Amino acid sequence: MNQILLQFVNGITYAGLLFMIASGFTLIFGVMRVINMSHGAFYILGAYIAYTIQKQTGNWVAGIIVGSIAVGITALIVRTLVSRVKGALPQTVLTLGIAMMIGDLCLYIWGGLPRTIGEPTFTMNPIHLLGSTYPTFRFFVLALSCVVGGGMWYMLQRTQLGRILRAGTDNRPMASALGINIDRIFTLVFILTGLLTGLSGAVGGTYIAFGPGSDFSILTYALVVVIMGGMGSIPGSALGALMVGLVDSIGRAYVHEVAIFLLMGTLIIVLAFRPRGLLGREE
Amino acid sequence: MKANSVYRIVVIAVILLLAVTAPYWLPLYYIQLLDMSLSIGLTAMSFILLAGYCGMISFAQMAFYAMAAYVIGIGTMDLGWPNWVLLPLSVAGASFLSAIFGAIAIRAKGVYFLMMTLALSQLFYGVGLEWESVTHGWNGVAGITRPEIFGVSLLSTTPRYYTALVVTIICYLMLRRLVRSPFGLALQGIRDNPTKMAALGFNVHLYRYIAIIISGAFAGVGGVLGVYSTGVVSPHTNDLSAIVRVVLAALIGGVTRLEGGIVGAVVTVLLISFTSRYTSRYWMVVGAVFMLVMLFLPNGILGIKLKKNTDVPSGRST
Repeated sequence: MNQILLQFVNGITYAGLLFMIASGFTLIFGVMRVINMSHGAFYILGAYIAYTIQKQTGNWVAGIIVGSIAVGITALIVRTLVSRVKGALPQTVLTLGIAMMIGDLCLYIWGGLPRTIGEPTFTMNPIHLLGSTYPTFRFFVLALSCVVGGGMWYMLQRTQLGRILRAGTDNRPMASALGINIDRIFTLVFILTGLLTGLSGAVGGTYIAFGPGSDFSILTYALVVVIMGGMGSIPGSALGALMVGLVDSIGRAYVHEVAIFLLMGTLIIVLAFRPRGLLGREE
Repeated sequence: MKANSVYRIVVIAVILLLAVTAPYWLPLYYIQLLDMSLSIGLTAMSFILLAGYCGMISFAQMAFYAMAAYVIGIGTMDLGWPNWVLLPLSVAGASFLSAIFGAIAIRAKGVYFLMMTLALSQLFYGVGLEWESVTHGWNGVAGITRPEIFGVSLLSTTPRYYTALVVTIICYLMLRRLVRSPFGLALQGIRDNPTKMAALGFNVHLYRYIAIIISGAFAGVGGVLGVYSTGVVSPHTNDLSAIVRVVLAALIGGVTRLEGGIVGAVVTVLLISFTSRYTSRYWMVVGAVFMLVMLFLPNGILGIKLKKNTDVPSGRST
């Protein structure tokens, strides 16, 4: 019984990380209709930079700050490249080339070995939970994802920027006609996503090991979460992250190597009943 | 018009002559590369069938390719099944996978379709990686034995190249016949105006679905050629760089014409081979070329030369 509960807790903390990864991905999609295929590359770039900073200075917080800012700048560069092509589909295909370049750059600088970022000192002491010890850092990830989720909710619902973003998501031509500078909004969304994904990379790199190929698997999880939750919806990606996190953790604990079928099956069942995802809306 | 058709016949004859005589004047290494290009090119043609003729950008073609390759690899090495069972079974397997993926992705359009097929393709990568007792995980199946045709083993490069050449030409002719048939014309009509085609009584979903399954089967044939070419199948058969390779081949060739897939595949495989000789950062070069093609040649090499005013089908966003 405790074992199941423990896997449940694992799933929820993992969902926290997945939500942070997927929320930026879904934000870009919602506003620009572009699938940013370099999203996984953003993640490992943030993780690698945070790893190096943490290694050099011993300061974990400095690592995640520098990591997210660096990815924010990278995202800005990607944004300028993407804006040179017209149409969502060519833009999406273009980001695939960018993903290859960032992935190969990381391989060149940091080599092929998988790495993990050292834990920050404030989560060193494990928590006693259900008669066993549980790493505190995972709860920190969960708390951080709640802060990120809350912050995004506040930004989208309560601020002028959020209103503009929602307007841009719902009806881009109309928002543009009302005098909103859509181009500037796109840039902002990309930078925001870069910061957020860099942060998730730095935090996720402390949570689970990363290396070459992680960019690919992170992109998979981001895609599955966002498709399941409904593309472009932030609450949807929270719900999708929760489902994927739980199914994946429990699947890995009990059915081991065929856990991926469980994930695929969940996705298929969700899409059979809700073709646009759990909280997705009709186009 | 007449001069044009003479010109075409000459071009086709020259290309065929070059392709058939290649083993006599090219080093064996290049024949191996050409053999690889044919399998990639066939898969790129299956991509073009969906992208150029149906307006659906599918990133799952390499999953169908890998499915057929896995059937051959596991069937030959682990189960020891005969080739006359495995060859049809591998193509059937690829079609089966495309039928599943298609059933899930068919309702999505444009960029949504791309996203669905990419996610499904990546989940298939995960299956190859994690279902170790069947797929042998990370390492995959290596050293796959090749069949014999008329007493000649396909283990040696030249007979394998000729076999691949014949198979690719047959598949190309079949695909060409298909896109010019009433079925293919209906697909192009659906690409341009699905609402109108539906009003005319065409079952739009069914047409699209059948096109996905057909393209899956041809990608599967590409996978069989590919697994015989390299002798290896692993999750990397279907990883992001493999997807990039086949999509780049289609983009370079221009997604508006089937033969673009072969031309693009030869260019792509040669590009990767040349750059990997000078630098180990060749994926960076490939990524950059990929970007440059998207930025400056959105219609590809053949696309620009032949039809200046043809829109890239991918340009239509929803």
